[in-house]
Amino acid sequence: MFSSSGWSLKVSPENKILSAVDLSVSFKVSNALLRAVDTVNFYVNSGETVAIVGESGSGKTTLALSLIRSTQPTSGQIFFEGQDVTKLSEKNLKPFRKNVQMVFQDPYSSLDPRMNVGQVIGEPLKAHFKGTSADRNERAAELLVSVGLNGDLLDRRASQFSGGQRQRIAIARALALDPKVVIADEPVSALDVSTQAQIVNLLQKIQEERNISYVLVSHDLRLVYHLATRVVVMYLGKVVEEGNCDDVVADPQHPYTAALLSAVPALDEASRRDRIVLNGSPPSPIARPTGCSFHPRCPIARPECATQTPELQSLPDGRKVACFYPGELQAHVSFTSSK
Amino acid sequence: MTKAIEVKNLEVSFPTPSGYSAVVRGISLTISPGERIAIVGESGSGKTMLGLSMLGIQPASAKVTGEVIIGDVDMVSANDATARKLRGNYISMVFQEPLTSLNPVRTISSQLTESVRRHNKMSKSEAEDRVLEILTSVGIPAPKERMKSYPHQLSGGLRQRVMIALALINKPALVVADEPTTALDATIQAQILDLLRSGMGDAALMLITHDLAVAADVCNRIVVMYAGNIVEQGPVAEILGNPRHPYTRGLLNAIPKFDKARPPLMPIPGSPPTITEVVSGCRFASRCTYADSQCTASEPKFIDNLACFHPVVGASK
Repeated sequence: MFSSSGWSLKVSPENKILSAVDLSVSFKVSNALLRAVDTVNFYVNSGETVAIVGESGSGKTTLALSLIRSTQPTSGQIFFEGQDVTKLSEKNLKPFRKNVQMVFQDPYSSLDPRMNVGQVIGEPLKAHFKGTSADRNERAAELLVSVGLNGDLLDRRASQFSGGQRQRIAIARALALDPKVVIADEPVSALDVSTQAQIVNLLQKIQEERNISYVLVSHDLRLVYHLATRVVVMYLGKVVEEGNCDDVVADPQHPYTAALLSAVPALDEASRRDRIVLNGSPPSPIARPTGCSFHPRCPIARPECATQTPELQSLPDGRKVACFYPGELQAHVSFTSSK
Repeated sequence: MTKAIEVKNLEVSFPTPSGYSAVVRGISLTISPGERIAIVGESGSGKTMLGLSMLGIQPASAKVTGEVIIGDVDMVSANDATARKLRGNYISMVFQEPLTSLNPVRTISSQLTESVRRHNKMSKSEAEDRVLEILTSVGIPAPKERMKSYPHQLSGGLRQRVMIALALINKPALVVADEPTTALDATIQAQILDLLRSGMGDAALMLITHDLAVAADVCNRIVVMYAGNIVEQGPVAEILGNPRHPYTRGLLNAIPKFDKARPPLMPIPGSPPTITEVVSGCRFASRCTYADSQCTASEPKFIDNLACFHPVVGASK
């Protein structure tokens, strides 16, 4: 039932705007080696949204940071528009920096409190273009309008704005250089529910207008389902499942994916009743279990799962899973229908 | 204790340059024995201040009026000694971040036995037996070994279980839990929600959360707060299936769902009033699509579990 081809055949490689090949990131932690990201393959197509989900310690944020060349990978390669950017010097990275931007989780700490909004949004412009401060302010005002804020707020400081408004400013800054890829690490989880919806809609509007690719790092599976076309599930530094959101949510192949879906707090009785509750917490990435890393918590683990490591393999429909018993554990997910 | 806990016309206000401003604006609430009730609201709704003032642990600058009747005693007017007796014995609290709520230089055992012995005449070994019993009941594996641990040696999920054990150890009538799972990972959150739903013994639970789904997951009744007021309350099924207040409905519409059609989310426009902002009429009116002149002229009273002049009818999507 498995085909051994590496990448999904439905996607031609030229569509891949940003990709990582066999990427590993390790850190030295008091004489032990912490493999935060372990031989991960990842790509995002032009105009597409790919989500990376997983819990603390899964390596999702480290993967995101290495995709923007903020954390240097230990091995493997990062490609942007076909070019290997893994080892480029900071000077040669300038076009890459312009095209791959980031939005962080907490708009209270990601905006410099000493700068006014014009400076916050103007800073990337200053770094990449010649031009006067008047030019930059004009462009910053346009950007503010495009994220739904008033263009004449350039003199204000970030502290004078609410959380939702700050996140709009952070998005305006990310858009300043007209990037092709925006990596958003939990972009709404610090915001109130009603504000979250505003920012989610804004992100969608921007994508439609500019054909930007998003890499969305999130723990919120409902949000992931709403925004992303494809999802990558990580556990202890490795990809355990990957596929179209529709398929993965309706029919998860990896037991960890099923458990994550099942753990989503439910608005209905049935999801609650049939919940898969995993034992314990994810183990430390320093003391990785033998065999399948998930086996100590897995409800369907067999003896061989403790000794053999399942590789990430492609299923006929293009999905990938790293499990000896794919699809065996299913979650109750309550779909709603707006039609 | 088999009596309900009653909150009567509770008001919590803070000094501002223009006089005292209320963040909890005259709330009344009855919590029956063993009931699980959720207080749902966004930041600034006053939900946390409501919880803190029910335990008498609000910030020193706050002015609290009204009553919180626990047993036969009013927490608001109680002196310090009485309040301390009530806390732990009759009402206790679980906070969001267990690492900052537990003492980092004392073992789990020492912190829990202290709490037992403060409220009961017990020998050290009797208290340790009680601690072992409660740690087992909240699902801590190898509890005997864990008693010797320090908080930093436990995972986030285990720490939160210890916090819940600490809250339950003197068999209180009510545990107030303020966003107890917000700092936890998804699969750990599911474990703790299970514990809150079915592992609290005879204690009633007041769960403070911004997440309607978490509220629905754990509780029987949902109370929705907005800008210091209760705007709607009812059984979970009614609040989710047939919300009458436009704000409740707005919150539900703003959450993404597993819907193949991916309908656009419907945000609530604008933001809640600030603490010093003077609002005439309904405090939600400026963000409400149903609002008319009546809504800005006078504030709707909380009648029949709802504070709205123009309740929405029909099932929610």
